[in-house]
Amino acid sequence: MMAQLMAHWEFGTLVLFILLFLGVPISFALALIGTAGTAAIIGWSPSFSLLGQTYFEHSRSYSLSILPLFLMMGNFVVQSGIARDLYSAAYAWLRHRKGGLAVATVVACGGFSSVCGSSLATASTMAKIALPNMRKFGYPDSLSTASIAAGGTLGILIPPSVILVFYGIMTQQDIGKLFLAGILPGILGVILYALAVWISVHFGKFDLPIEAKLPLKDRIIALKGVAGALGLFAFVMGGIYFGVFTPTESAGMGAGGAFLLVLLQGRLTVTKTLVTLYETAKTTAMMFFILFGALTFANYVNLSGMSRDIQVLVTSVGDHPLAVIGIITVIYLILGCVLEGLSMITLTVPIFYPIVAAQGFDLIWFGIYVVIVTEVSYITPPVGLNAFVLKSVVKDVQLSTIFRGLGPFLLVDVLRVILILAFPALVLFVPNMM
Amino acid sequence: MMNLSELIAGHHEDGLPRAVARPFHHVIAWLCAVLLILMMGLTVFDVLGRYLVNAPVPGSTELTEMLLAAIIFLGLPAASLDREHVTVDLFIDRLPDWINRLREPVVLLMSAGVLGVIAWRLWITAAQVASYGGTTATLELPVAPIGYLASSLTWVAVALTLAEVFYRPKKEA
Repeated sequence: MMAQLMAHWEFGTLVLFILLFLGVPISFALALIGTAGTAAIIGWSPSFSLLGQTYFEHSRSYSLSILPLFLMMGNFVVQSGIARDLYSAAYAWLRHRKGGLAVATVVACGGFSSVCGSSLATASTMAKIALPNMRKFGYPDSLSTASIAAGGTLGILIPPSVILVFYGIMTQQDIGKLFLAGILPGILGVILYALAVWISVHFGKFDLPIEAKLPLKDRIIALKGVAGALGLFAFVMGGIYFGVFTPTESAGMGAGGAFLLVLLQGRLTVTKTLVTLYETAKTTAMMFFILFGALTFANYVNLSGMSRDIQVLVTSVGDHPLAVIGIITVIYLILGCVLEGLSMITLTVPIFYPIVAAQGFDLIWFGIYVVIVTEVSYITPPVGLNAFVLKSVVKDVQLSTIFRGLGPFLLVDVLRVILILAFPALVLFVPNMM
Repeated sequence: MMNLSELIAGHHEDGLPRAVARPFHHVIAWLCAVLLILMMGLTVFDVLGRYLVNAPVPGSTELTEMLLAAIIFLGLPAASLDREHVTVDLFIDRLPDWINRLREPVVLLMSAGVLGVIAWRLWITAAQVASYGGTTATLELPVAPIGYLASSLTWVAVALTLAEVFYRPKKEA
């Protein structure tokens, strides 16, 4: 009975979500449903064989070794005290503008979340650094918290992005091109968030103080702390762009560079190094098990005809490229209430990418689009992940206050989605120059 | 100066008592450090070798692949020990305490069950590779031992997950 039901993807997906809501780790729930569902269709023995092969083969994938190396680079850069340095630098350059502190927070949060790769770490670190300063200068909590929550979403797009690595593996797209494609939309995101701050300040009629402009010399000195990390970023991305090394090699070189950077600063002890590398391996395992689970589940998706059925479903609602993208966008915004970005994308991309490819969309473009929509879902009420995470860190602010502050940020995010849809060149210009 | 295990334990939920977790933290941290630095060094020397002396490290690709598998499966017991596997906590955070006291052991047992099946199948896959003498392309290193290692480390994660069923961390004040 159960076995017959599991052959239907509707039932399997339902059980999957029940397990997820019960708190079964996403990676294990995907593996369980993927294996049981596949077994219901082709039998236990082949399903178990597939399971063993999936975990064994993909754990030895050369192109995936990019992941621990980039995580290692990011973790070392975090050890270098980049959070405070980023904030000080952005503060020095923006403090004389109205709302400048909030824009500085957006920039620092974007930079930091791209390095550390975690919304939670970004929210907790930046709440300590940026929030007290904004409160001191009389910024309303709504704007202060919103700039931290929104700025923190930018990290998953700014290369090196783990989500783009997984997307590239699952859709067989060039990871280097995906990284380069993320650059312009990332910059656009920062500019539009600055616009959102301006909207908040202008229409909220906040009376914000403006500090004296720092002399150019002091502003340049303030960049000293971030020079190493920025240089590293330019080295890694430049290396990929000019074809000096492959993305995987760039990750290894970047990790080596970051290690050297922290070592030269004298901020590294043996214990700190061990903790950093332990965390790197732990995060690597956690992410790979989500990937393995998603790949196991993808077998089930293909065998049960889920891809085909959803394709029929989506195109029956509207057989126009924009309608298809619209439906997918709505699905992501809903799923984003439940899943964090990495799980959501590894789970859904195997289902969606054949559909969008059939509609004539470029798969590099779609990768960036999916990441941007995921970013939007992080700050969309009622359950934007970043707002929740920030609320858990800053206990004396109401969730409704954070969401109220996020209004203008959501507005410009919608604008960014429309711009990316209307002008795919914003995404494809840089990678096509390669 | 905090010791290594306390620094690691500082960030996360306790899966097991500190005294039990400590040796695991230490062993895994040292092994991961060695393997990750090896992996990094391998790439750096390969790239520098290629550009500076026109001599890349032979077989660096397949060595990297094996190191990756070892790092993933070393990190697995660490992730299980520190309860770092990603979950959807939107609903469980709102459940009353008594339900969570029942729910947690069930979830841990299911996790251990899934990991157990994975460990079992990894061993069988490795045995199949061993039976036809599968080796890497350039250095002709046998591939099966990596599979046995992965399976063994997954069993460690199973054991840790089962042990967590019986441990109840003290609630934060």
